[in-house]
Order: sequence, then structure tokens, then C-alpha cells
Amino acid sequence: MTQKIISPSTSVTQAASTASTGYDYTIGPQQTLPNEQPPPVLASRLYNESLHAKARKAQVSLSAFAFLFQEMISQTRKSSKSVAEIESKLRGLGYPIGIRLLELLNFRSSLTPGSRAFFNKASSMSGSAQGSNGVSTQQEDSLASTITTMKRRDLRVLDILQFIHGTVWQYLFDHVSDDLVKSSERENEYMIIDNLPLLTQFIGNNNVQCDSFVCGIIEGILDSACFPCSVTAHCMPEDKFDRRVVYLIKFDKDVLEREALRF
Amino acid sequence: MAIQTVLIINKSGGLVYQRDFLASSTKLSSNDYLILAGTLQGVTAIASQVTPKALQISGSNLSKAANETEYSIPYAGPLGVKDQKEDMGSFLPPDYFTDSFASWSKSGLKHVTTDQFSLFLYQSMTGMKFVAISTQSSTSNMAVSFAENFLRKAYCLYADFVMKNPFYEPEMPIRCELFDKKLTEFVQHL
Amino acid sequence: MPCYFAIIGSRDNPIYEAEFTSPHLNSFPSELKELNPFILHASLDIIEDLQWQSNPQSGVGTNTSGGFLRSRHSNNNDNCYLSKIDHFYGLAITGYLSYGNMKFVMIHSNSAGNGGTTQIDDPQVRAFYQEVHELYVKALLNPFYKLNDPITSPVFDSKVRSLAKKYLTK
Repeated sequence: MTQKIISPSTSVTQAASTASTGYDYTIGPQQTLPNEQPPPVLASRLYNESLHAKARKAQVSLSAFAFLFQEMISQTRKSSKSVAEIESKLRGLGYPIGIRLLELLNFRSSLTPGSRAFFNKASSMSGSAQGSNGVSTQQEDSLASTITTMKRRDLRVLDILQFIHGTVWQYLFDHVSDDLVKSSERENEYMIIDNLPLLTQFIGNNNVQCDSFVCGIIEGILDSACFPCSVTAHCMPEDKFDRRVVYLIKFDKDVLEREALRF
Repeated sequence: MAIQTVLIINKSGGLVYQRDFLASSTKLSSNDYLILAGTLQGVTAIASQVTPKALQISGSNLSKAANETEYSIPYAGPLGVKDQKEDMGSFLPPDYFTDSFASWSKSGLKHVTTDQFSLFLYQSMTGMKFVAISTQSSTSNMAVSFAENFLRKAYCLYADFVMKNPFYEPEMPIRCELFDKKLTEFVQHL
Repeated sequence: MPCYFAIIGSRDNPIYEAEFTSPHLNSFPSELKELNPFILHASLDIIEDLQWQSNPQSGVGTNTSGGFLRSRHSNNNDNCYLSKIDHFYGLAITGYLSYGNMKFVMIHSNSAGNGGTTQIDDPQVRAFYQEVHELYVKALLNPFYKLNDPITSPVFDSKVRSLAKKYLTK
């Protein structure tokens, strides 16, 4: 009597053998052969879950986040030697978030309100999406098929800044930023102003600019949208708002040159 | 009743915060405050030892309805909170808390009264002690619950502006501008 | 019709490639297959030009180098899908740009394989690109994925291939 030995490690390597290499010039693209069996279904939460904003809980506990943020700062403080180093590390933590937000929020705003009904259907199916059922649900699971027109990519400096001022701020801090100003002195400088910074409201330390984290997010968004720039945060109290923060965005020269050429 | 001084004592009896709100004539030196903190810590420990065991046990079953009235502190209204919607930190407006709450210092020192002043003590679950010294001698239950409400709000402020500050080391003296500012504002609006 | 699809990162580095062949018909001739990446990369210049045109599909701005290749049927103002951007001896090349300026590029070959012009079924191709875009956003949301890294997830791969089956190779 032969028994099949179930060993989890080999089953993983078998699954990996069907993996694509992304891009590897030594192998070349893998092609789907005519008589090929459909690939084994791989359960993946990442790819089976909906991207819809309503698909997950939209709120995060402020206290929980404040403690996480506090720990992030403590960690960077322990591993850095100077204030500038702390700030640049915080910036580095924000940067990948910005890259992701640019894609995700733009994709979400391409959705029409009508796709809400679709979402309800998808969520009822997601329970059965595990296991062998995955492929059949996957095709209905995509939000892209409900999109008629994608939101336009932002090509001008003002468009992308409006996106940050509105959509991004609304998503991150639940209010639009308080002002978006163009510098009167220099062509390439813009300012986004937040009267009540959410993340640093418990931190009363002016030596280290903890809002650098948000600078990193803004930089990530602008950089991956091809608007290379540097962002700095400045604390500028104004009568009622003593924690008012100004994010100063300095675009590189070539952004303005391109704008002058194209538009 | 005016709040003269607020002290915060950590769980090992060290004074981590001291602030005067009245320019009173009798100013204690910082050394005296340290001694006061140590003494209060010791007295609290002794007091909790001399609390009758029966009282401690009945106090630990707070869920029982019979004891609830005895140990829960009524909510004393929105004292100290301005009618502003924002700036409540991680607490939801209109107030830091709106319910009556169970006192955590069931055993130990709660209240000291002399002719000159009264001293109120609120102990947190982790052994932090919040002390308020008022300029009146008051013995009424009202005053005690009022003080306990006040100190609990100070504890809320501590939770927000001290514990969530990455530059604060636990158990060390508190030097947080925002906490200072919020506490001053809070006492002024009392 | 066989297709060669690649995602090109923001530093013009390929991060994913795949070849789709129809179940009943031919694939790329082997000598051409080797050339696919080159053909595809040759069209990146045109994409880069279209990237900054406000209406890449409308055929406005014919003074620029990519302009004369525009297909002029389009009437919507979507600037993610670039439609047909280039051709190479009967092969047609379509492009799509994500919001983070990832370039999704594909070479379409006509089913006959005789070098005749290839017709692009725009709505289908657009739908394919949008779906892949969604998958790409999901891949990007993976905290362990870094921008411009090759996408090696087998799930991503199998999903892209089943999308290709659905929209492209009929």
C-alpha cells in the first residue's frame, strides 16, 4: 500500500516552479502553450481582495496610530546620530507610502459610484473565494471591468498638487489641507498648509521635525508621478493654530521647463 | 477651590512632574517636593496595608451592584474643557469621559485635609499617582469626587501628551511643552 | 493572435514580461521572438513623448514625433490608455501608462503571421490593460514589494495569463 506523504515544503516548491521570474533575460518570457493545463489556483489574499475603499475598515484608531508613530520615531532616533539623519529616515519611511497612494487613490477615483452594487456582490463571493473556487470568482472580482474611463493622469504641477491637497489629505487625515499656495518669490516653490497636523499633535518637540514623515509621503507621490522635487516641513504658528505646519515643495528645474514646453 | 499645585509621582515614588498654578507665598524648594513625593508614596503603601482586608476584598468585586455606588465616582460635568470641538487629542468631544467611573485607589491614600489646604490623590492602574493640592480645606464628598474627576482628566492629558511623545522616556521627569500647555489651559478653565 | 506583454518600470527597466499565444493558432516565429524585447523597447521613446501630451489619443500635437502614428478614432479623454503607439513590419504596439508612470507595453501580431497589418481591438485591449493595472496596484500594495523590482508572484502571473485568455487570444 502506497501512501502519499504530504510534506508542506515540497508543495511550496512545486508551486514556485510555475512562478514567473518577472523579467529575466536569460530565460525569456514564458509562453502559454496551447495544450497547457490552466495553472494551479493559488490562494492569495493580496490578489483576491477588492481594492474598493469600502472593502476594508476605513478608520484607524488614533491612539493606536500615535503609539506606532511614536515607536517609529523612537527607533529612528536610536539608530541615528544627528537630527538631519532622523528626519531623512522618517522621510524614507513615508516615501514608499506615497508611491502606493498615488496609484491606489487614483485608481479608486476612477471608480464610478455605480460600482458599489458590484462591490456588494463581490464581498458576498469573497467568502467562497478560498481554495479551488478562486479562479471562477477572480474574473468577477476585478474592479477594473466596471471602470469605463480611467481618471486622467495628472500632468501639470497644479493638477497633481490639487490631488495631494484634496484626495490624499482627505484619505490620510480626513480633511482637505488648509491651503495650497504658490510662493510669491520663487517660481518653483509651492506650499501646502495644515493648521492641525494629525500625526504630530502629541509631539511638542521643535528640534526634530517629525512631520518629515508626511514630507516623505508627498515626495513619494510627486516623484513617482515624475515631478521630482524636495519637500521640507516648517512649523509656522499663526494666531489660533500653534502647531500649524507648512510643507514647502521645491520642484526641480526640469519640471518647470517641461511645463513651459508642453502646456 | 483653586488648584495650587499638581504633582505626578511615578510607580517607584519619584517625582516626575511638579507645577504650581498660583503664585503662592509658600513656595517649597524642589528638594522639599521630592521629599513630599517620597512621603506620599510611603504613606500610600502603608495606608493600603492598614486597609481592612474585608474592605479590600469587597472593593475588588466592583461588578457587584451593592458595591458599585460606594466605589464609583460620579461624573462631575465638563469641568476644565472649553467648548471647542477640536483639540481633544485622541478623545472624542465633548469631554474626556462622560460616565461615572470606578476608582482605582480603593485602598491607600485618597485625601488629606488640613486647615490650610487639602490634598487629593488619584492612582492609576500602573501605579502612577496624580496629586492635586487645593487652597481650601474641604472634607465634603463632593469635593473629593470633583478632585478625582479633575485628576482623571489630568491622567487623560498625560496619556495623550506624555505617553505619545516619542521624546519622553518612561519613568523620567516630564518635560513636554504640550503637556504643560494643555494642563495650564485645563486648570485655568476649571 | 500572439502577443508579447511587458511592464516597464520608471527607470525603463522591465519588471514583468509574458508571451500570450492563442490556444489553436501560431506563436511568434522563433527568429522574431528574440527581437520582441528590442521592438518593444524601441517604442519607449514614443511613450515618453505621449506621456506628457494632454490628449495622447486624440492625435493633437502632430508636430511631435509620435503624432503621425496616432490612431484617430478616439473620442474620450482617458490619458492612461495610449492605444496603438507604434508599428514594426506589421506588428502593432500598444501602450498604457499607470499613474506612477509604469509603462505597460504589448506587441500584437496578426494571426496569419504573414506580415500584414494588425488590427487592434481597442475596447478589448483597454479592458485588458485596466485589469492588469488593477493587479499591478495590488502587487504594489504588498509591503515587501519595492518599486521597480521584478514582479515574481506566481499569482500575478497566472492572473495576467487568464486575463490575456479572456481579452486577447480568442
